[in-house]
Amino acid sequence: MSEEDDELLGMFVQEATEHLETIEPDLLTLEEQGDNTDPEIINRLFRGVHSIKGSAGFFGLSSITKLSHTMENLLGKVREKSMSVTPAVTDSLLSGLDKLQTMIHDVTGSDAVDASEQIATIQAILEGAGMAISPPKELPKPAAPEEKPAEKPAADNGPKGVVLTATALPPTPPKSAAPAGGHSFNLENHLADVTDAITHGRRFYVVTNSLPAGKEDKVTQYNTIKALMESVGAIVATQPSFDSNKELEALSDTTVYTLISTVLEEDLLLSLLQLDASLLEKLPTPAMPATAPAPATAAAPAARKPTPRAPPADDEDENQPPEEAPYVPRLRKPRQAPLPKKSSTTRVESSTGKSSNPMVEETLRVSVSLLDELINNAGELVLARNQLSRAAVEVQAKFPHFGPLVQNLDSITSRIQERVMQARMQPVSVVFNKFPRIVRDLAHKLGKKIDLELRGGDVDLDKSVIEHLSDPLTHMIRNVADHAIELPQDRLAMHKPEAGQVELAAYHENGLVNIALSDDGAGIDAERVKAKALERGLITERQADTMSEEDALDLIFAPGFSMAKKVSDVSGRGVGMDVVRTNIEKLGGTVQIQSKVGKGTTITLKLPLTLAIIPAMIVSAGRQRFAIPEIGLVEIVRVAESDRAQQIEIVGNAPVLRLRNMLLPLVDLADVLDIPRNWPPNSSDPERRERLSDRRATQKKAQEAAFSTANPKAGVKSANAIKEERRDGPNGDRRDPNNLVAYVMVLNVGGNEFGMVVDEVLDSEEIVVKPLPAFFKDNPCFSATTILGDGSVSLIIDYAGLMEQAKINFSNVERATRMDLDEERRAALREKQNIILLETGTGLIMGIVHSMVRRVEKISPVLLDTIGGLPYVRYDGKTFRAIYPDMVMGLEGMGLSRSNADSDEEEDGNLCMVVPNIPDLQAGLIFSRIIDTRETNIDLDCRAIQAPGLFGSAQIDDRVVLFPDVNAVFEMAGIRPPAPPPSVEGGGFRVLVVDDTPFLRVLTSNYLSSVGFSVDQAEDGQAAIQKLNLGNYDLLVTDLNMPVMDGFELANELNGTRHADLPMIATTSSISSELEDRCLRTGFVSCVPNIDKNRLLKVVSTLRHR
Amino acid sequence: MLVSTFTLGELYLGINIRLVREINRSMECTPVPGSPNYIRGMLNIRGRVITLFDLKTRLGWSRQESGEPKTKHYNVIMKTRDEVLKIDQELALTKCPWEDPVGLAVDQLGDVRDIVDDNILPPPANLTGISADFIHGVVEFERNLLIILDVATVLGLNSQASS
Repeated sequence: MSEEDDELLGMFVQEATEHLETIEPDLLTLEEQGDNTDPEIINRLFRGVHSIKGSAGFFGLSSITKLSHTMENLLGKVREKSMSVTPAVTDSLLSGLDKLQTMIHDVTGSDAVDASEQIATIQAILEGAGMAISPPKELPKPAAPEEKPAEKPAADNGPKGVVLTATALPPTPPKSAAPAGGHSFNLENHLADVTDAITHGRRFYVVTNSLPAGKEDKVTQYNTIKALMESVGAIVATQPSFDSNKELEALSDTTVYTLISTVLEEDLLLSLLQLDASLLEKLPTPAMPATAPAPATAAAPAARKPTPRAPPADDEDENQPPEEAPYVPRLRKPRQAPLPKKSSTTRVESSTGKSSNPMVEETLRVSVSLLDELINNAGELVLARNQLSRAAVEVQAKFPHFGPLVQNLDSITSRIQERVMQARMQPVSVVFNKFPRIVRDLAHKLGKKIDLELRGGDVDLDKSVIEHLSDPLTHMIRNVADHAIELPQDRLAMHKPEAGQVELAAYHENGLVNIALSDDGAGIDAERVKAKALERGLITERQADTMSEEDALDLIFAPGFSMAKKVSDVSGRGVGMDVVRTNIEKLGGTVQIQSKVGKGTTITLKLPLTLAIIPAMIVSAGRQRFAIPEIGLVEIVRVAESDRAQQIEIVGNAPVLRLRNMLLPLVDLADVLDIPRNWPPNSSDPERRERLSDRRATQKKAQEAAFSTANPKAGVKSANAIKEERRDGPNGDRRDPNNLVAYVMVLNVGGNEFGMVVDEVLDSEEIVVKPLPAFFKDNPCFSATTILGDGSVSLIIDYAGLMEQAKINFSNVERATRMDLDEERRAALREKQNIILLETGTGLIMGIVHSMVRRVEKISPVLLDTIGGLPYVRYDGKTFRAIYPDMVMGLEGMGLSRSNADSDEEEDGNLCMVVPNIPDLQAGLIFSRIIDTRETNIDLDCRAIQAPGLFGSAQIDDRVVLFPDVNAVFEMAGIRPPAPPPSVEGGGFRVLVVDDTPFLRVLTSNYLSSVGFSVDQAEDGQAAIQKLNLGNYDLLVTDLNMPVMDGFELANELNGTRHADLPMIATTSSISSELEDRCLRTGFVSCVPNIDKNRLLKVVSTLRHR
Repeated sequence: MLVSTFTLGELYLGINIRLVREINRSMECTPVPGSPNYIRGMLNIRGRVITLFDLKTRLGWSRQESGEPKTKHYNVIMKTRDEVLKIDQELALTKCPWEDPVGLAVDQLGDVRDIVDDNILPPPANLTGISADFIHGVVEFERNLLIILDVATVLGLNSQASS
């Protein structure tokens, strides 16, 4: 019994929850449209609250009943238009709704919930309105039963008029239409009420009350009943009629008939009024004004048009075969009305079918576990089908009809699987629909105006994805409301609409579901983000300089980042967007952000349709197969034996893949998972071993393997040889590039890329994800399991966990090390230099070494200004002095090597500004365009072309490229760095400049010789030591990254020799505090950027003073 | 209680049959890198992923004691907690803390025995090959000692388990 109750209660909760889900959007519509709200919406609201109340009453849930009752009263007034929709009304209703939600969420504890505040608020509004109610424009005056109904003439039976006759005595059921002596109402006498009632979808009932004879009792009891009746509808008239309690008292009758109008169904009314069925009589609602009476159902949407409508009522009724039993003229059996619950749901459906509101389909509740089981079995079916198909090939030879049978089974199986998967899909509106409310509340709280538009709510996503979408989206929406949308007055000042326009849209793209949240708010200032990130130590200054706008915006997803100027209770605590990204990535999705300052921001989440089935690559490592989710897989690089040396380098002790312009840290899957690589001698797949040996074997063994194609035994031998080789080598041996040849899966984890080395890429499959057994939860490398096509279990790799396991850590500090990898790589490239080739306005080609450039900006010519006769560029809120290098150097006439082919290239009229890597220098070199960036040897010729400020020239691609001395050019243009160069008198001192790059060696030497030093040069540490040993030097300036012997080695080498006291200065193309520390520890006086003349001279000057 | 019995080397072992879901012949098993050595890996049985424990390794047997690894073995697949809950609430709550399907790899299958609870004795001190932690109790049976396993401890789910 109690179980049954539980079940019923469960149904109540589900049903109530559904009601609440429609009530909320309806309330918001009501708030928005106020008095113009479609009456149907108000009716739906009313019915929703009402049925909650009804069912709650059934379960004796008094708190819910009380609150919903109060809300219903208020809604009743609104519906009758006896109260206009003010913010106070909707606010109170919304807050009541919240309370209801809380209570229904925990039904058993609902009675303990205190809703008195909400009830009091609503009550206050009700009472206030009761007093404020003005003489009726609207006809029904629900709170005024005293109003005297028009005199009712005695019953008359006009064919169109309806004579309502209530039976005289309560026990007699009002089945027969006989006007049995009782009192009769004639609806024709209440035409106004009837009109109104029809437009509002109300029906008329006659309630029979037997009152006690005692005067006092009579009045008290009647008033109780009256109050009850008023709470559910409007009293139109009574018989006998009386205006006041006095009159009532004076009446001799003990039976009072009351004519009421209400939207309620008959049996609902009965239960609410706690009346016996025999005491309630439903009057057929007449069609207006004089046609045959027809049942105007409460929900007929067209009947809800505000204007009273007359003749069309007929058509309407035909279009809408009422759920009610066929019309019986005059009186009807009370029990003919359908069950209220059922009818109310059907109504929602029928009405929503025509409105834009969420569609409710006919559905069946199925437990998720049942669904999962179905999915499981569908998967099994697929496996069985696969096995059968394989077997069918043989069978088919004997039984030719077998093939089509299998094919048929095949297609059915596929359809079943597809459908079963769909069963788990839910529309995103499940999540979306809660946002209008959240946005409304936030807007109120923040004093902003926000219009939220939802699009694509019908896009389906897997239940598991939907469930995890709510939190991240809520967070994003809060952020938008809090940060992005400006205050109304600010918006108006910026000529934007007063209300912020926010759109939340879901749509399909490339097999993924995109959810885009866009606003037209303030946008995100990438520079500010950078500044914040710097402040919080999330990035280094150098990173900030080189960072693209896109990367900078990405920083808002970094842990601990918050843009809020102050912490509000809405957002700004710095836990947020990183959680959004983490959550979305957990779902196998990605987050992208685009923003324009002042224009708005769009954040796009790209999500897989389902988590239950994902596309994956099946790879092997060791002899085991693993599934790698394709989301996050950027590309697969096959490292062939011949290219291996060029592609894989060892930096430090870690292998990295050189891929285009990146160095990717490599992780060997088998190593990380500690899977032995040796093959069992009796492996059943010699072919595979051969392939393996092909790739793995060293040159010599490769020949052996080639031979083995003809001789499988040799293949085995070769594999064994490899096995031995592997055994011989210690662990680190595998990192040896000689063995590290395979496929590199380039994976992206939270914006960082790394390469995962696998032995083979076997297949791409849609895999069914199954949870990882609890016994393996500690292992970060795996996220789940799956069953492959052949029925074996396979593990799904969790990239992030794998990185963790492999100790690859891309936190912010590591971003820097990754850049330093580039540094080391540059060292590995030895003589090669990264050069930016630029063309001047006069057609000269100039080369600037990349490390001398802070950044290159495209600028529009309109940003060029002449101030005081000198050109300036406005950029990025700052003013840069613009320098035309060709003019400064007096080379503009030379017009050397402009080729025709080049001039055809995109001429967008924009200029290039090169900002040099000199601190605090607000000046840039202006070129007409960038030609290329080149990694090349510079064979600098200092004689062929000579000009002030020019180092020399070199030939690159058969063109003459001029290399300006950037510092000199600025000096010649009269630009002095903020700090004047220290005066250094180098006369009489000998200095040795060590640098492997001829160009930089010349540069540094020039700086020093310009102040009087006599300079010698050496190209690496070894050469330097030789020179040092031959002569006496007063100063050593050395590059750090050099072949043969680098700067640190050189310093260590000198330590303990007669040169131990020789002052040493290190130069480097990229400086960092760690590097500086290391320099100081190694014994350098200082470490300076290799083109920063001032800093170098400053350091030198401090030496002189010692 | 009915006990499903099997052998492991010389040991005669049993598990309450209400905890047993099914018994299979050995089948292909996917090892899980990084897992304890007594976990052989995962099996697919009709679409369910089952974690297979190697009982011998779990009991701490050395390679010699375990004999030839190639020997055919059987997998005793246990019911999950949810499945046991449906038939025996008390048993599920006291003896069945595992939520995922698991299996134990054993050597040979024996009969199903009906034993009287009162006959279950504490393990004798001189028992070799198995730690008392893994034993629920022993029953003397046709001069054999039937050891009733404490599966929860074997799976490492009892706090007092020594592992």
